[in-house]
Amino acid sequence: MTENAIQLEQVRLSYSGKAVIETASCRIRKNAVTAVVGPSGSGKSTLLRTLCRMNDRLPGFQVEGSVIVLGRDIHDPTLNVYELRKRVGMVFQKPCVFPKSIVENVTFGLKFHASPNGKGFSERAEQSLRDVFLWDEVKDRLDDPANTLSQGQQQRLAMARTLAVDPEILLMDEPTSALDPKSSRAIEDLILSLKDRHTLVLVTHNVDQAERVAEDLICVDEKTICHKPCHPLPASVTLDPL
Amino acid sequence: MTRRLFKEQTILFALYGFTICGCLVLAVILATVFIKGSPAISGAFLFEESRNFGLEGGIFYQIVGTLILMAGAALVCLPVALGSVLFQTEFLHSPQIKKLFRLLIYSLNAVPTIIFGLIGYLFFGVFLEAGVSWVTGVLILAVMILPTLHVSIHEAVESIPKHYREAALALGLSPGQQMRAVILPQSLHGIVTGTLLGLARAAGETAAIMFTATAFSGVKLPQSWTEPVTTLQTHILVLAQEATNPLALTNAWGAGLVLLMIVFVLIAVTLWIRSGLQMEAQR
Repeated sequence: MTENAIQLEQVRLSYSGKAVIETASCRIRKNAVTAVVGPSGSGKSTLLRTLCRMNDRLPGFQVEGSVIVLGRDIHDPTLNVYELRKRVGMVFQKPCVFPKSIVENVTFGLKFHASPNGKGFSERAEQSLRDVFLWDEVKDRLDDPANTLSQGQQQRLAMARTLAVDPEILLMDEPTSALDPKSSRAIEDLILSLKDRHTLVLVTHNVDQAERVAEDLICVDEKTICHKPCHPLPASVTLDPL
Repeated sequence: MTRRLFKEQTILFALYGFTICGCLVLAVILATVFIKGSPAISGAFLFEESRNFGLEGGIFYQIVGTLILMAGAALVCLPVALGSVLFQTEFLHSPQIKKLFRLLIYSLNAVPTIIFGLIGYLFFGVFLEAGVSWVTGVLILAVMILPTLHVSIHEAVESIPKHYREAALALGLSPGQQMRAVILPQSLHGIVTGTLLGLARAAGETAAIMFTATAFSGVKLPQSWTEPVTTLQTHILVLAQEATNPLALTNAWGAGLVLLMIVFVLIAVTLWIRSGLQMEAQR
């Protein structure tokens, strides 16, 4: 039986008592690509952000039920939330690069997690840029400002920055929605290339994209979620509740 | 339609009028200080100590005293302002307490400076036994410029794009690491601007330090924590009281011009650094 990276049991997500997701139970397999689909405002992003506790500081946000990530309940008071976020990386909808050079962007998180002497930073940076197929495009201008890159390149740079801290799970919140079709395909190819080493969870409103890259599908709608392997993807996405 | 146009033209005309009035007042003040003060300015005036109760000699120790109080106040105030902003933005989660905190800071800005002087002297000078000294002045001025620094730094921290914070948070950075990596570098322009504006405010302050930190004559550089300094503000005030003596008046205008120049230089540096750092941040 395949090992699970993430397991949700009777999870309820709410803002100030108002439910965003009434009940969610699902399992996300290790080293697989899982797509989370659903209409706008259905709570896909809230669900994704919950997995690395990015919503902790939102006023009135509450999680009930059990969220097990990499074998631990993420709401266990003894859990180190910064270590959790290091192991569960996140890439956002809009490419976010810091006003620094390309290489400084890649090592941005790494320098706080790696040994203080900084040994191997350049090797790690190179490897991360190779992982996102950006190395050949930027190797001659690593010290240039990161915002001189195209939007698609910036999104891959943001992924390289996340990969540099070596997360086991990579959460992606509509990573291609701000990109042109060519850049979107590049990100999709990248997702497929990463699944051997990482567990990937992708929020998308594009069912075709989910079909192209994902092995499993979680459908969020009507404040609940359903779950099913998505190859072949059903013509009409009406899935049975778990 | 014509009536509306007339109304608009009248309002526009009135706005121009008010703007010109405001600028004229400033121009008249600057021109007066410059015209009356420039005859006093010379190398000797800037670098010699004052003699004969300010009627002869220069204002060297007054300039030094003013700079000591300004720099001291900024050095004491900056860590407090920065710490209180970071506490408010990064660790205080309750919106009500944040609102109360903001209200307190704004209220502090509205307190008359003489009250700062009085309470400051009672606390630092009497209770902490610092007496009439430059240390008392520095501490009073530090409290006085705290709201200016706090508001400026707070605005800069609040204007940091949310996605920078989120990206740092998602990489597993702790609050301290986020401060080092994102918050401080991205709000540097606010920190510098706030400090320099605070300095400019401290430079113009007289009431709070008049009887708590300064002495008019017989004072050079302070040799201990409990000695007073002499400042440009005190010098101007005392010389102006001898308005019948033209020599005293010229020296008072000269000292006024130097004080104005110090403030102007600070504001010019503020604007220059601010635009430079903002461009750097947007790069």
